[in-house]
Amino acid sequence: MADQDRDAFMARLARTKVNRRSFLAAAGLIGGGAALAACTGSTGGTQAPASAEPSAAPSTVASAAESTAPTAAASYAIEDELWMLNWSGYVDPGNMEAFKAEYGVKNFQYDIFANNEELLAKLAGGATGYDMSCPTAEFIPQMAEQGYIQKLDFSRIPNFQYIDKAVLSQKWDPNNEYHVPKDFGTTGILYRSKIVKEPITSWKEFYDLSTGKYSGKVVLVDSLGDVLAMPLKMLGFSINTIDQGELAQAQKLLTDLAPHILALDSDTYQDKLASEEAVLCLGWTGPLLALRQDPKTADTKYVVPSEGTMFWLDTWVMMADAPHPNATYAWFDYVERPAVQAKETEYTGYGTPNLEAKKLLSPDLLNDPSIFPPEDVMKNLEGADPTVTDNADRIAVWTAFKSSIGG
Amino acid sequence: MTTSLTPDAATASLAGSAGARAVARATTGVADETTPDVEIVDVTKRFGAVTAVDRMRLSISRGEFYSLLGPSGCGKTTTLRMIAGFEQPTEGEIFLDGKPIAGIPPYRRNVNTVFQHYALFPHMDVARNVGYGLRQRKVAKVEEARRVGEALALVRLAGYERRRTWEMSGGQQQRVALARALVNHPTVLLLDEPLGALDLKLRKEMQLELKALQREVGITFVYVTHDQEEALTMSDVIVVMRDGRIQQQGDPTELYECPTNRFVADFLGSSNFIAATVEGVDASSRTATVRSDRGLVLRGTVTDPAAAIAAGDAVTVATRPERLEVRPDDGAAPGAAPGWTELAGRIRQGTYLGDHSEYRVVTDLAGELIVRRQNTVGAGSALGGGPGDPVVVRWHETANLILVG
Amino acid sequence: MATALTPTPARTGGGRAKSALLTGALLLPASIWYLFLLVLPMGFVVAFSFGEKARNGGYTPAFTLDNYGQVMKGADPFLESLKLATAGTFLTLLVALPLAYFLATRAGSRKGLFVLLLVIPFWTSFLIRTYSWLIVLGRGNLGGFIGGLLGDPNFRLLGTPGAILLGLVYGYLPLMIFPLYVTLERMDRSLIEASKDLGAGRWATFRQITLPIALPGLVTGSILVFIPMMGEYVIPQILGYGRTFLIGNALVLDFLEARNWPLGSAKAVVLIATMLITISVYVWFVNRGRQARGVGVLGARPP
Ligand SMILES: Nc1ncnc2c1ncn2[C@@H]1O[C@H](COP(=O)(O)OP(=O)(O)OP(=O)(O)O)[C@@H](O)[C@H]1O
Ligand SMILES: [Mg+2]
Repeated sequence: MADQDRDAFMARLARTKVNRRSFLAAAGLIGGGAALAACTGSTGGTQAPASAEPSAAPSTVASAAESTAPTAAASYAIEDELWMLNWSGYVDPGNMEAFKAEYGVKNFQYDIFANNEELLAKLAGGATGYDMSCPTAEFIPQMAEQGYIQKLDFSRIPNFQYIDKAVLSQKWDPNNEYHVPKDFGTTGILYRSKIVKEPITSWKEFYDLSTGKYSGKVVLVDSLGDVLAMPLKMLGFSINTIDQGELAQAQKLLTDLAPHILALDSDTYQDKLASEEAVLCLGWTGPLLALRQDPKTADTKYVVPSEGTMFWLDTWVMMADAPHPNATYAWFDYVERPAVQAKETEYTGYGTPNLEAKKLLSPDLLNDPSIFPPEDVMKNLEGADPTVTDNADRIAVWTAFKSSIGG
Repeated sequence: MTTSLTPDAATASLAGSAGARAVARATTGVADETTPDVEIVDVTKRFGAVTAVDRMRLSISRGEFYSLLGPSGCGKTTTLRMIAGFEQPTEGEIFLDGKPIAGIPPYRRNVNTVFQHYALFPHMDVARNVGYGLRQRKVAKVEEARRVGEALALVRLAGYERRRTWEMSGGQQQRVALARALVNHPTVLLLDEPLGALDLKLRKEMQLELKALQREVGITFVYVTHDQEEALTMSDVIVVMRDGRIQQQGDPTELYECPTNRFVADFLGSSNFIAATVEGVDASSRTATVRSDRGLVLRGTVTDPAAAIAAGDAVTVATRPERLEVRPDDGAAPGAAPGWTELAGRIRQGTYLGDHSEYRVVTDLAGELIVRRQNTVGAGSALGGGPGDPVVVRWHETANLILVG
Repeated sequence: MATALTPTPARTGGGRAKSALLTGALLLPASIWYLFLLVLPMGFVVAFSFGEKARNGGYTPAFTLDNYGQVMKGADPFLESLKLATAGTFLTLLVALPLAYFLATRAGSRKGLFVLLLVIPFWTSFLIRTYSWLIVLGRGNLGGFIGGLLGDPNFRLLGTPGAILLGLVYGYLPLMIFPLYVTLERMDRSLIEASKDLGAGRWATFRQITLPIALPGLVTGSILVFIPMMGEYVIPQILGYGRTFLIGNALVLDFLEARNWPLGSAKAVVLIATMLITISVYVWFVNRGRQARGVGVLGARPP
């Protein structure tokens, strides 16, 4: 095995949050690989790709942070502890330290979960003592219904005002009672521009190239909701539709696409792109940075399709029995300070819905349409509706599609 | 109806094959009636540094019961396995029916083996075990059933066809193994300590049965054992082996009466050994006069016809314990009759062994001697037999066997 | 007379009670394990399979057969898995049998080394081993090499049924080899010699002696391999490029994506039933004719 092959291999095994919808990651199967990668001294980062570049935080952010004074939290007694249950490597440690210093919090605990199901399982198993967590937004209704989280007093989070209205009032929290949006990402099109010279801006173009010139070099993530978003948005329907007629039209498109598919793969699609086995991909932004950093794959492009697409949103929520509510509110407000949030974005590499923070970002990040789609595309983003995920008709479309790819 | 077959009918059928073989020999002209069944010519077998069989030369005659006798590790099994084809000789050649068999695999040799632990197939009943060899030769089903029935009748297991082998006693399993081999009418039957796993009584019974069976079917048996009594009981010819070499071969009487070396004299029965030096040799009668280290002069027969001895050679005189007589020392002066040796001694230990008693007598001139005395009527009390009692030991010079080396 | 006899039964009675206690003590850990990790979860699965999905996913108690009705409508994943598991088991057997035979009879003093070599890869995570095949079979290596020989730049090994089967055979080989190895190793070598001695050649000996005697190991191995292959998901996903929709995919979809536990449970129940039936038929088939002579496999009296 060539050295770079092995390094790529180890790096792949080491990624954790990258493929958040991957079953393998969810099942904890990839975790063992991370440990192995550490032993072999692999250079692969163990966190989201952006975290491999700690020096990326520009000094302007730091100075901006200093200029923002503490606000509403002043009138409450801040507890000296704060317990957080979060994705691994998902908060800038520098921000945590600064928060501790500013508010006199002595113990800021950071415990992790690998995926939303694990978070729910932990809570169902009676994990208590946590103040806050960071689930993906579609899990909010369930967590609220089961009494795990509480409604927020937004008067205590003045900085919430900076959040982009485009991501608010979604199905998961129509009245914006429970959540403070943290990061968002999209399902979109990845392609190797070195080979695919045609400009791609829409699902339509992706579909035509997939069924035409680049047949057999197309990989899709193995995820019902994400894949279904493509034909539905091409047809102008909601990604969450359960209308049988609309689904039938989507099925037709998918059936025609099936023979041209190389793989359904949520775990290693980046490798198929890297090896040029696939040149077109319906996927997520996770592996993008890593691909671009490697000179051999620097030509990889990510497009948020103009018809709109599915997006996910991770959100801050407060636990119903939070032992330290004042400190929690203080953190929610603190982390939405534009300067602090800008640092967060530099750290995680995911898009922030904090509009003021965006202004403080380095131009590289801000002008990256893969992280921040243009406003007209932003309008067309749709969150997944948790109530339709087990819809039999949708599953039938998916099953038929998968079965027709054939082996 | 196989169960109604008498052993005689079965024997007739099995013996018929010997005739058929004779015809085959006559027509091919390769061999005649005098050709030995198995001929081992200068065969050596080495396993790495171990020489299991060393320059063996042996001719096994038609229809005879041969025993390979020797201590553990002397190469008996290895010899059998070379005949069967499971091992190839390192040097030398083996002939079966006059034909060299090097390179012929076991399944194409007309030789069958009865294994020490029987090696019955656990997933087959008795009939299928016995018929196994026939099925390999594509013998018709009806014919197979008939011959299996005969073979089972021969080993007195008629009616046991459907039995499972592991439900049978050791002796019965032994017979199944025998039937399984015999049913194929082999030229030679090889048996590797087949009675080793049986208790003494059953063993003795089976020994006689086996011998009788061998007579009946007339097949050549090559029988491996390390039990001298077994060999003496059954064999036409005993081949004594040691460290891969044949020490002596002959019929039981010959071997017992005339062992040619100290090993054979000791291994077959037991002997008193007296180290001595040759004083004079009578070549015509193959007798010699020798003097023991302590000055005792003895005359005896030189057993090894090949031995050339001369005055001054070191030899060993062997005497069988039962050829020695012992009586209480009555104080009479030891004045021996011609040809007799008489020695005064003291009993060191007397052991009563039922049919006979064994005495260890310490003598001045011949050291310790073992004397065996039959406990015939009145004999038991004739000898006081307490340790330290003075006794007289005497024997005739015909009991003296002079062994070279 | 009667009084003289009483001590004996009393003594054996006490011994029996003690040995029953000991038997109980020895079986306790296994029983607990069995109860909590097999019987109870199975009970839940069966119970869930008659329930309804809660609004946000999961399970609410109910009694309905709808889930089973839905399972029956989509039998394809079951058939796909059954095909794959059958082919995989057969191929694994084909590879394992000669290897186990070699290990048990011909490896001699190097036996330990070979067994070790066989086991070492399995100290590594299953997933890493499977991913390794991506590299081995990939375009940079074997796939590309064969493509080059064929002159077909689009040739690939990965994402084909062949790659899946290879992964299955590789992944489950030890489960097949070890039961086979153990039965072959335990087999009395003199049986083979006896067979040859009686005129059976190599192949005839193998067919008539070795194979029937190894049959219990063969059945055990096949079952050990067949069961996980039925539920196999990861290998087809990685090496088969996720191009198949197996029962494992269906379960992942139901439990993790749709969070429809009752439907998933019903599928799991049907899967278990399918496996039990398949295995029963298989064992019955193997035992036909054997049991008559009391040397059946699984539960029949050993030789
Ligand atoms: N396959 C083998 N590999 C190495 N050495 C062997 C092998 N078979 C036999 N030997 C050696 O050859 C010698 C003779 O062995 P053999 O089995 O023929 O003895 P034996 O006379 O049958 O002894 P026993 O009465 O104990 O069965 C022994 O030293 C034995 O260790
Ligand atoms: Mg032996």
